[in-house]
Amino acid sequence: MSRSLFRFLLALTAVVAATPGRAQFESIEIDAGRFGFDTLARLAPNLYYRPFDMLGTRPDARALGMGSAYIAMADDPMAIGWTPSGIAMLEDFTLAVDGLNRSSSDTATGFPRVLQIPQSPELAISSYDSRLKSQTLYGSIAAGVPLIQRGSLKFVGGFSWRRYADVARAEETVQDFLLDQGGGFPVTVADDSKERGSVEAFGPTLALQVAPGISVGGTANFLTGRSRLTASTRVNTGGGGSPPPSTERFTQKYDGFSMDLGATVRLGDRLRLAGRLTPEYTLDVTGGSYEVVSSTGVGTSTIRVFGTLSGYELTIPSLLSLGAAIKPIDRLWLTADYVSQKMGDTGVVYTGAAAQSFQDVDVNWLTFENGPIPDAPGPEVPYADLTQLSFGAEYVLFDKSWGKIPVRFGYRSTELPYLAADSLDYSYRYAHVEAAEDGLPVDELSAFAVAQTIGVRYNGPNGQQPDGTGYSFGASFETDRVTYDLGVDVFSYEETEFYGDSVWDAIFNPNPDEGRRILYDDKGTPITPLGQHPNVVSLDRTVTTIRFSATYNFPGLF
Amino acid sequence: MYPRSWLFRGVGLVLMATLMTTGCAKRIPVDDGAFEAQENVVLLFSNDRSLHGKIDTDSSVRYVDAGSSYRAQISSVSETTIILEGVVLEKSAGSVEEAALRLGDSRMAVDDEIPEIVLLRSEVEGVERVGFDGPTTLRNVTFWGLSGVILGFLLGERS
Repeated sequence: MSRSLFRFLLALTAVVAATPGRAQFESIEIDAGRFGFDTLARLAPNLYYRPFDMLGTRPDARALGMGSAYIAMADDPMAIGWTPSGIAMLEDFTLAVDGLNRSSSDTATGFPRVLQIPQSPELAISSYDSRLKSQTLYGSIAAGVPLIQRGSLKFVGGFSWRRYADVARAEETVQDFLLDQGGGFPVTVADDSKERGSVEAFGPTLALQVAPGISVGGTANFLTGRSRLTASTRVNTGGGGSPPPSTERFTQKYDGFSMDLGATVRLGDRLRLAGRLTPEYTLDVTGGSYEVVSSTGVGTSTIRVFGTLSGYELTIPSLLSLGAAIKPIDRLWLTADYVSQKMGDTGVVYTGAAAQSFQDVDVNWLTFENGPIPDAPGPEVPYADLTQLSFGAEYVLFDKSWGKIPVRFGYRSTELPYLAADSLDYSYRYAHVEAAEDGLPVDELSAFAVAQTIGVRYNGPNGQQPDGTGYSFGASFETDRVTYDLGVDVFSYEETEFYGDSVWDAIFNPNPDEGRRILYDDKGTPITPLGQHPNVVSLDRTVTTIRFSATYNFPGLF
Repeated sequence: MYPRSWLFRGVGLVLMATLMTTGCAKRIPVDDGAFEAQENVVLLFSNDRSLHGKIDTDSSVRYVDAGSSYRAQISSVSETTIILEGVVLEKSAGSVEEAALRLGDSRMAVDDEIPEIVLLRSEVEGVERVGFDGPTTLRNVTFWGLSGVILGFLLGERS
């Protein structure tokens, strides 16, 4: 709500208002106190509608090139991120590193074509672009070494520091406005969200080859990490006098522990089966500090809103992954993977004093004069069951004395583990309705002659689960000691978001029924049908991920 | 910028440079045994001895005898002998007594001032030219460079 409203005020000031002789304004500070997810959903939808993604963090460019149908092929230190039993295949001390770049292109539809600003000409929206911000990130650093070998019995140890779950979702949005009557300067409003951090895992892995071709393993994941959002909104009027940018900050810290368990079976040289189970685990999330600072224009008041999202325990459901690989002819591997995680069962429990206090938070600045809406003590989070089915192929294109070049292709169908923003998630709060509910006498209800929106109410997630398909390709260059891998994945899906990241404000996402005449029956019950929900923008999004990884063998080092 | 940060960066750069350049030299056997005075070579002698460096007068070389390494200077080079002077033990293999015994068994003539080692060129069993190992260097530079970049992203995300 706040960011887009402030953005509007910035634009309004820059484009429309000629304000000679500005008065001196004082800064305004609003303490939102300690709030819960219901408030967060109204306050900053972009922080609420996002996946908790444990699939996109699985390392190895080789895997990405095969459409993530890889668990049965995992046999180097990167296997720790797929199935810990995979490192049982190591013969020497081996070190592997992995990184990625992720970006997106989007086509937005459903946004308003014209903004009607009171007492000013209409602003036409000439373009609206919203996309995931391009980011280059580390993926994993992992090592493994054989420890003990007695006949066919072999112990292999490993250690890794890796990205375990993605929680950040940096976006950038650019809007161009033109005065509808053709006058004035064009205006560009840009949101730039810099967001870093993830849930990271570090810890040891132990794999045991119990018989030739059969191995089991486990990884102890000590979970840590934090996410930090720093977003700014800038207005370029093209004519100078642009107002100062508004900023938004949010931080969270993660702590926890989880186990990954896995098994791999190799039946001869041509068939491999593998599985991984990550049992349910709990993350302790703290430090949800939130702040928005904005100004309505050059030399005008600075408004600072701050508060804290209550600490909470996030119980992540177990993840199951199964895969098979078959080698029908020399040089060719065909693979298939299935992943399931009942993210719809994710649990949230507020922790500490916050669980007691957030219900009393004064959120009048959100709901105007009609009092706060207490956050529900058992919040819903917009997560949905994850299912992914993927297929891959690897073909050795060249196999020479100087090296080997395999190429890979893959396809996947993925249901993303969250529910997108939906207009049914919110409903407007009307002054006349709440006045009636508060027991205002029928004869006095006539004072509410027209619809007046006093806020929004969060109803819980009702949106669609985004699902899409991805195509991937990749290649490796393998020498005697080092292997370099490159993988590219292009994943397309549709989702929705609120225009201007706002569930309601008077300009960017107004209630279309605002100001409509209200009619009552004899009992004082309003009979005028009114819209109940804000509008959303549809995004046709294509996310491109490029992974690069390298593996180095150190024969005889240990 | 705090001095400690510079220290960490310095140590990291040195470590990275070491990892990148380790193993960048390779030894290529010379079939006919011919070499130039300006070339960096390894002469392999009988009885597990070798001489590393440029075989030229006043050149500083490394002499290895059964695992023990000595720093020395070439005093003269003829068609029959290579004479080393200023011999200093750098690394000893085995006990001091064993090293002394090996030196005593060798063709070493020690006068009052300068220890001297006379190497007979007739005992040269092989010559290897020390060259730049391009593929190994490229392999190391790319792997450790990539590792450094990814480690930087990891630390940057946590800073």
